[in-house]
Amino acid sequence: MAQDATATLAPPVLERRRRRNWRRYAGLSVPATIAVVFIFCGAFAGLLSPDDPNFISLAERLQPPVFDGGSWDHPLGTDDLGRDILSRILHGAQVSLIVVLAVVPGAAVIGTTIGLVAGWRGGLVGNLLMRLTDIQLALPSILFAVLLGSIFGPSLRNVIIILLLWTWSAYSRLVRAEAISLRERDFVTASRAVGAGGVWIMRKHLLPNLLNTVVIVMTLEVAIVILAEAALSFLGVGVPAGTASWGRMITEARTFMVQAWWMIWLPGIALMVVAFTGNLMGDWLRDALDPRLRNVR
Amino acid sequence: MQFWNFLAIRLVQAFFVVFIVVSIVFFVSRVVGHPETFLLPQDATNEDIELVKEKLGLNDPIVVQYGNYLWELARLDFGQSFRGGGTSTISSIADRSVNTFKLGAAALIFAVGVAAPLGIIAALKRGRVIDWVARFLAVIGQATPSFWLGLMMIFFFAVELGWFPTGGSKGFKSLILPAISLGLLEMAAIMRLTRSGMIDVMDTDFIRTARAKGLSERVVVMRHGVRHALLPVVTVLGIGLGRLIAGSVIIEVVFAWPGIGRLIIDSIISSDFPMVQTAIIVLAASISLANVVVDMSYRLIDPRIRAGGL
Repeated sequence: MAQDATATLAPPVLERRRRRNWRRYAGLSVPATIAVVFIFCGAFAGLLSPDDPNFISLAERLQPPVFDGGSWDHPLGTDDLGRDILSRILHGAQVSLIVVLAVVPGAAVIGTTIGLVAGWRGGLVGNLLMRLTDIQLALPSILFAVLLGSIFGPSLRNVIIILLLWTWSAYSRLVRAEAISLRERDFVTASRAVGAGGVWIMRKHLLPNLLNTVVIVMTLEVAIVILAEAALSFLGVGVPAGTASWGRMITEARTFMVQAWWMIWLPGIALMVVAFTGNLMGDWLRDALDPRLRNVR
Repeated sequence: MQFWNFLAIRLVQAFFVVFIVVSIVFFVSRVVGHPETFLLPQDATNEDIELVKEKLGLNDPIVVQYGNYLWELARLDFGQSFRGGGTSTISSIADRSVNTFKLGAAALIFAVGVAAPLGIIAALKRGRVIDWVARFLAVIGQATPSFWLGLMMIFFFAVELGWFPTGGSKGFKSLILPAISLGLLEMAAIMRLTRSGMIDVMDTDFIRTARAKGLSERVVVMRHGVRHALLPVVTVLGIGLGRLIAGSVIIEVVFAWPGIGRLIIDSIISSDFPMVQTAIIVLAASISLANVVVDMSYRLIDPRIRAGGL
């Protein structure tokens, strides 16, 4: 009998909870799917591509995509040198993925460390570290990037270094502000009272409380990093000329806008969709973890 | 008095920041780059190279070169361009800066002019069609690469429809497309900020009080709501200004706009290092000064703010 009672009571409650959970995660389903597709394409670009992205075939140049009168040989058409655009987009996804994987965690570690120390120590050290952030703000990152790019020449490694220098301060400013308010809390005072050192408190008490903020900023930075890499490649100081990257494809398409719409539309759409996805996921995460951060950007 | 103290401290800090930028740019371009190789043809003999190095003072110890450079800067001598018969770099930059300023101002006017009203209306009509439109615009604005948008607008509005020129800076019409491309990202950021600020403000007690006093909805919104909602916008303007200047580099290249950004890119391509150095210093100094102005005006608008915040 008792079993019957739970059987009649439980379903509506569980059902409601299930429905609520479903609604909570529904907003995430579309961006998460796109993100998985993007990561999959980037990771397996070599296997998925129908062609070598750099194979030049002038006889097949400027072929339209299959849905605009082209053939299945080149589903998304070819560019002015007859290179397969689908393969180039897939390899472009790989470049973006590598840059994101290298830059976002790296900048998060650098920025969080600097912000944490600046917030905890205050005084001279904290001030000097914050002036570092000011310098980063005052030195237009794109100019510095162009300067470095022109000296060292375009390469993927240089793009990653430049973007690390470009993005770390986004973390340090927020982390510092949070660390300053956490510093005065009772659990920190208690820890100090029993003789904990600065490094211990930063690692065991401040960092876990900051992690939400850092993860949210990291997600929002994905789009910024991808767009920045495209901008650098567009200016010719990003990835080297032979590499298929979305920014570079847009540069190359400039002179063919009228004859071949697909050359400029397709990489542009790829960029927009991925950046859009990153922003949606960042927004979702922020609302779920920490609505106070609504004004981050 | 406190205001002036704070201004003095901020100015000293800004000076320090510019000094560091000068040093970074100097060491990056002097130590890593080899300016003399850019001045000579590929097949120059070693004696030629030595001669040029001697003339440019590149054989001095790096500290001496650095000291000389700082001394020249202190006397406001920014050096001569490698190109164009050695014209003064600062005067070329001054000529170009008017155009960059015009573009930046137009982009800012576009961004605030669209974002503030739209953000306020979206907040007041939460969940309605206009709110969805505004939020969609904001998300799209943050995901669109500005240079791609610029190229697409050139294609549609200049090439296909012929409404605007494809580039250059002749007249008001040529300003519109670059200003929109440059301002879009800022517009999205300001709109999100205005919308969320307005939503928060409209929930506060003083708005309820204002309504209880029997003020008309228009006065409640305009005089009590909007003023508070726009405060945080002022703070992001400082960071936004830096982003606008950085973004203008790429937009100036797309639209062949004769501003500082394009000058820098052209100078880098032709390895005109004195020009690059001076231009970066000028931009860094203007961004720092703009940030000081924003900080100070924020303190004037909102006396609650005291030093030590973000």
